[in-house]
Amino acid sequence: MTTGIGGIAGAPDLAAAPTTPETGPSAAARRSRNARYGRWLILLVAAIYFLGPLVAAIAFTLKGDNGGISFAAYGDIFTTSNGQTGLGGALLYSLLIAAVSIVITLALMLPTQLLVHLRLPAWRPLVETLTLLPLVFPPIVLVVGVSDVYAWAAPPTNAAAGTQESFVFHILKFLREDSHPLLLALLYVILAMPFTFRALDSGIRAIDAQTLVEAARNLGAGWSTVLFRVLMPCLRTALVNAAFLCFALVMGEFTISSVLLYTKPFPVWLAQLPTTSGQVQAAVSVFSLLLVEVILLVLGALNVRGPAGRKE
Amino acid sequence: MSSLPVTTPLSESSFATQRGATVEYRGVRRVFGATSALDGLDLKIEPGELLALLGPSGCGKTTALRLLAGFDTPTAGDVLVDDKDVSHTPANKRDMGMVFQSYSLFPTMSAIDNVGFGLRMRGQGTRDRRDRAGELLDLVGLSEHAKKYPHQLSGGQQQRVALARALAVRPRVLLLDEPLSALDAKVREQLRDEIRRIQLELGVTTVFVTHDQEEALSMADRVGVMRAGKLEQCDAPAVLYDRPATPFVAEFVGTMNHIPGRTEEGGRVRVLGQVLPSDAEGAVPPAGVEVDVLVRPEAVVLHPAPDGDAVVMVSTFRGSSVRIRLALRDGSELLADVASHRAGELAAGTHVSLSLLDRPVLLAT
Amino acid sequence: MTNTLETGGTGHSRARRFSLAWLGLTPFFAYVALVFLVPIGFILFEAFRRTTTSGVTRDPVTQQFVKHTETSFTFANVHDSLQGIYRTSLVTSVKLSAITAVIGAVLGMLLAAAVVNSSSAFLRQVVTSAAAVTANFGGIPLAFLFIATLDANSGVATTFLQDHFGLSLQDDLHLQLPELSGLCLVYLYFLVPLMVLVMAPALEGLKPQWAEAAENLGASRWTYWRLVAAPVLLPSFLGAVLLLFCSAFSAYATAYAINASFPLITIRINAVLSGNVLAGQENLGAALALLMIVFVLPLTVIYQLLQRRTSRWLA
Repeated sequence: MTTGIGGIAGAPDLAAAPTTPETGPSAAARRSRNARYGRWLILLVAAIYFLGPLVAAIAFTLKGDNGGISFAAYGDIFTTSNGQTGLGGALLYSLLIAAVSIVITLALMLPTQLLVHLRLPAWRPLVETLTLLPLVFPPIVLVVGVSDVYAWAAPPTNAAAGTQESFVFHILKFLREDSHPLLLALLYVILAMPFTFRALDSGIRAIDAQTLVEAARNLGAGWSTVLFRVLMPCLRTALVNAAFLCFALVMGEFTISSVLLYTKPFPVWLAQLPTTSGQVQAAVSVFSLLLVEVILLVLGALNVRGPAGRKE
Repeated sequence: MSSLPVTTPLSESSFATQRGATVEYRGVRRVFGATSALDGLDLKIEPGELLALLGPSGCGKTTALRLLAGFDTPTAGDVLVDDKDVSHTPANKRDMGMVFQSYSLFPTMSAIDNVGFGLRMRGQGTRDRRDRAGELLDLVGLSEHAKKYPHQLSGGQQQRVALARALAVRPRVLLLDEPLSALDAKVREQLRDEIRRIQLELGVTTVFVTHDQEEALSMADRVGVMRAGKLEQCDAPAVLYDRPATPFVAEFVGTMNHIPGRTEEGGRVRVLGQVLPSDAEGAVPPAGVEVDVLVRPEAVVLHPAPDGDAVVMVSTFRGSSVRIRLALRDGSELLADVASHRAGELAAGTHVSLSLLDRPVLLAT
Repeated sequence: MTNTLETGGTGHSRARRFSLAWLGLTPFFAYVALVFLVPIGFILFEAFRRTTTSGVTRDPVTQQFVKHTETSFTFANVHDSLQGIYRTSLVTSVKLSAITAVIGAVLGMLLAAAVVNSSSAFLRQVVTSAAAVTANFGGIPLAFLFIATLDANSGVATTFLQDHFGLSLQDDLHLQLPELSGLCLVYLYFLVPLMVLVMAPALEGLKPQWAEAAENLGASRWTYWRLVAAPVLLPSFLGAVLLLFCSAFSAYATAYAINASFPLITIRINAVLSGNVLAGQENLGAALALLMIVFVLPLTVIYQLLQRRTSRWLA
């Protein structure tokens, strides 16, 4: 029931015909149209720049010997080798390191961050700053430091044969072993810290851990129940995010592993493929980039449809 | 209840000055895809009037305000200011002042720079700007905070600066989009009075959007109650309260009891054993019809009586009054408001006898 | 914050409770100290040491030559790190990083603005995840993609331009992969997404009410950007430029794979570590690493300060 102003018997003025279509010629509409064109132009240029090399590389990998299209490069992916191992070996090697890194990261960071968040908030600035340090000191710098540690612990070069190796050196040598490169895993935990801390931190904050813990303990839960049955399920998205960030970092890390002369991690393996097979190198690159991107997109999509009430 | 809208011509209502602009919405519609945010709004606002647009979320009040401000264009209809169509004037040329619900102020500018922003846009020199901005900060009582930044001010202070900023440019129309909703209750009350005082002093036409009926009723010259894109009634607060034009308005503004009754001869109605005149403008309902009688809680009179028809179930203290929920013999419930000094005698479980004030009652059609 | 530790044993004092919790942080601190701080500490230490041969003597028993070395604290390493090819590598690294940081910041800003304002959630998701991938994982595969595209002889784009437009990538467009121009182009590939990742939240922090209030008060779109939005975004923007600089400065994998034709400090460090240096300069690597730290550390501190400022305003 509308009220016609102008008297008790007023009826709506029917003489006012509609004059403005939805996309009127007003300045505002024009301005937003221009803005939209500008936006699409930028996105187009960006798409060309970012997808271009990918498309070009794919074209490159499909170049046949006689000018036609050949998938030979992609087939060769599985047979090529850098002298030490093939694609499967390299991927597996990195994957294992990644798995170890993820386990160490979660086992180290999750309790620490929960402890800080729930009990020791005053320590947070210090902890956060420490986790940001790896961003400040580039991997190349870190690996110099690691080399120096090894140089210091090693017996002097002019020592007579049979000199006893120090205990520290024993441990260091063990960590560095090619067959079980725990050294890499340990270092990667540090490299990933800035990102994993953030991921876990936003997850912990989002679920209001304090209230959950108090509620659970109020109902009689012990600490392990609180951690494994209450907090971790709620933190699932954050844990997966942190794990994936760690995974992406390990699978792509080249600096430390190559300077320390490893040959089997995936990026090092890729870089050491014989340069005569430029197509194969490109093919592996395309393959790995697409794979990681797809995994990320899938994870992103899963996140959006996360547990009810968690995501907007 | 009448089926025709009841309107009060402004000459009868509280306030009218010659300053300030007139605002008119003529057949304004705004459609977003499949939904109609505004479905034919016709409204005329007189110079110097404070008109509140009141309604639940989604009723279109904010859309109406934004159309006036120029942040949106109507799908159909015109918006006129001082009888000139502004529908195609860009927002930054409409010469209006707006206060937002939150985040009004520019964070990197001090209070005085914020207030002077509009003047800067109009090309005023620094000295003049400072003077005028200082005047306005004085008006809202924040002169000592002139150099402070928004993050150093409380919510109430920020909104006052926002008000000063909107008024600095001597706008034709002042627009307020739920400016008090994000503030604490106490601050809200203070600011309510201040805004009204300033508005009256300056005589600027003001449109005030809110979902809080207390705010609307206490501040406005007229209140436009909206629902689902339509204006249900636009009247002075007292009229809105005593003579709601539609069932929605009756429920939305204040609380209403629904009591079954039966019409009698001469436009009277029998309800709860009493016979009262019905307040029906226009058509008088025929006798012998079952009707829903609308009665305000303050029109219900209670006396403790051991043989009474009703029992007090819950008694809620609300400061100056107590709201009592009664259970009647037939199982239905009624709300009654009594002065709080009577709370003692009307505790839960007390039997009471009921009667209604001898005033005309409204009938729901 | 109340300490909700269970009251197991009423004899426990408050001080005792707090110290127990503190202990829980030791795994973290110990880990960071051992795996990170110790190596960094060694850099600081080794950068100032040098082992010189003080003489060669013959061991009377075994008749072998034995080299005697002396290790002393010296600034010689640091001095050497600023000479010759190392100096050049520092200068070119700084040049490359500065150029790409500024270009990347501007382009990234435009892209971030375009993405943030878009209404498509899918677009935002794609861009965010793509940015995360290239920022972290890029390195080697990225380099090979660009080699496949822009290689002077067999690059897809190179031959395409040559065959269809008669344009030489090298002579006409002055774009060669191992040169500065080519390297810049490749670096932008991970710097622009980093910029987007950093600036998108800042752009999203711009409240629509500010734009509307500005418009309402008579400002044009441009005036709003100039007087309201830019001051708010400036600290974030500057911080992001610094971040981009540090990221470009520290880059190794990409430069390695592309085989830059000019020296870069990160590549130089690797050369030193793999032993291609004169005798007695083993600690040069540490000195170079120290040099990098000296550059990056202050920039990061400034970045943190700028971040703090921004959060005050956008809170």
